[in-house]
Amino acid sequence: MTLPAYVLALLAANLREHYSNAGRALIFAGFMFAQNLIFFLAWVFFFGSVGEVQGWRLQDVSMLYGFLAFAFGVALFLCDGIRTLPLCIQDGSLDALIVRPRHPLPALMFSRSSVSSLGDVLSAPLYWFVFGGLTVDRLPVLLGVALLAAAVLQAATVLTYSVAFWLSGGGRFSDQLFEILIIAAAVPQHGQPLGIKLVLFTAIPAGFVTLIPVSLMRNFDAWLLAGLAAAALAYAAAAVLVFNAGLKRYISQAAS
Amino acid sequence: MRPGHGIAVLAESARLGLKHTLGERLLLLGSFLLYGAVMLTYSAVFRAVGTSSIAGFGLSQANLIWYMGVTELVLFCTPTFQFREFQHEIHSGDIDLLLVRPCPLWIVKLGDGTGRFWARLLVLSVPCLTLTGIVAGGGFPGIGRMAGALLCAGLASPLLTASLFMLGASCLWVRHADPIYWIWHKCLFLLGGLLWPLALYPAAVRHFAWATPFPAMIAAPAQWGLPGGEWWLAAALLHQLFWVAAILLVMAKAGNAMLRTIQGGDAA
Repeated sequence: MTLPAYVLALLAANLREHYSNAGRALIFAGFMFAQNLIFFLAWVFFFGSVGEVQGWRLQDVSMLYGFLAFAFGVALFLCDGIRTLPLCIQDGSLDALIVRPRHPLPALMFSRSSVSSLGDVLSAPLYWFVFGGLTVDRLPVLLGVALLAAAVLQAATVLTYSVAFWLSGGGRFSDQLFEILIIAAAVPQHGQPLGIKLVLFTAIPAGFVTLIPVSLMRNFDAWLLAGLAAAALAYAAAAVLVFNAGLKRYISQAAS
Repeated sequence: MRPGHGIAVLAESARLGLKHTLGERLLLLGSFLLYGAVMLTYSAVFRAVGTSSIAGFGLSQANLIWYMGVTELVLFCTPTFQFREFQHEIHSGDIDLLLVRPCPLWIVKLGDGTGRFWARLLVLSVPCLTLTGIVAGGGFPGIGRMAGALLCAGLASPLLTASLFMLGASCLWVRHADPIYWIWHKCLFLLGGLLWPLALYPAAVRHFAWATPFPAMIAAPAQWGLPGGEWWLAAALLHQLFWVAAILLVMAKAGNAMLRTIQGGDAA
């Protein structure tokens, strides 16, 4: 079985599980949709009072939330399993994936799907088209950019949770690092000081998840799009390298 | 149960919660890093806001940063994972062992949550408020006001703990309480004025928010970081005290309802 077929088989298994409890899936997705909207209302009230922040208005923040919701939703709906890595290390269940003939990372990533993240994915069109003022004819570019943002986010998630290989009992700490990434991506970044921006495009790649996609929607630039694609590839490569290094450490510690 | 016994249980539970939390050094570090990320990113947004657009609300950029510094401190001191822990205890059946104690479970949970909150407040308040002062670049509300903010934050602790207890207990009737928790959490953000003062909200929304307990959990302590008369602080304090009394009463009732449901075998 080729890798793509293997991944599709894992995804199909997750989808079957959600389908078997469709009512629960709909309720979770619906509540997630609602909670996103409740939070977004805070920005609606904020911009209603202050008007604009260094040229950004509610429409721009709305586009930002659309990209974050889509990227977060796609990443966790497809590959939420990576967030179980600390627990797998702690209880030894990672061993069952290591002994398989395939690399453990795909099996781990696709071992779990967050059904509530469907609500995040479904939120995105609301923020893009209703609050963000984008038109449907921009959907192909929107989806392409959003998928690249999702790839960066997923790679960053792998990097974040791979910290658990070096920090024993670091499961909740990994969750906190992941929250830092989400928080940084959920805030307008264009007015951040240079030092913060440097971090947002390196250690915490939130800039690639939301700022660059919003910039592309405001003024499309093919070179910027190429840069985003290159960033997605670079972070994916880094994620695999760091995961492999952590895995090697885990195996050597288990052997000793 | 005699009141003295209940208070003793509460105090001992708080002591254990405090001791347990003080041992979680990595988590406390993670909380500080998270707090730092929030303050650094949002303070840049506030500094980009035109001073004239917020002057009409009697606010400055530094006021917004100090306000958020306190609201985020209260949020980070709250052990929100307690909700999930409690839900797990119910689903796994561990709740049966917890219920054989000679004291109501809600008192134990209240004490534990309070102890955990105060442990985090003791460890995080100085570094977090120092960081807030650095990013605000001035506008320090004063030692007296900060002391008032921290005391009000302490009053928010039973409100938050009680809410998390009831949210966790709700899984007895709705099977999975996560969706309800998400909505509560975001209402805490929105109606509690987590990100910016309720003064920036439309009047109707602001009045509705103050009719709920959420401002007592988040906005009330942070009011001490804003300019304003003492009468407003007194009103917010009374608002907090009212909701503390109300929610603790509801928590006790919820604890009894939970016990009846478990003992009656009617759980979802």
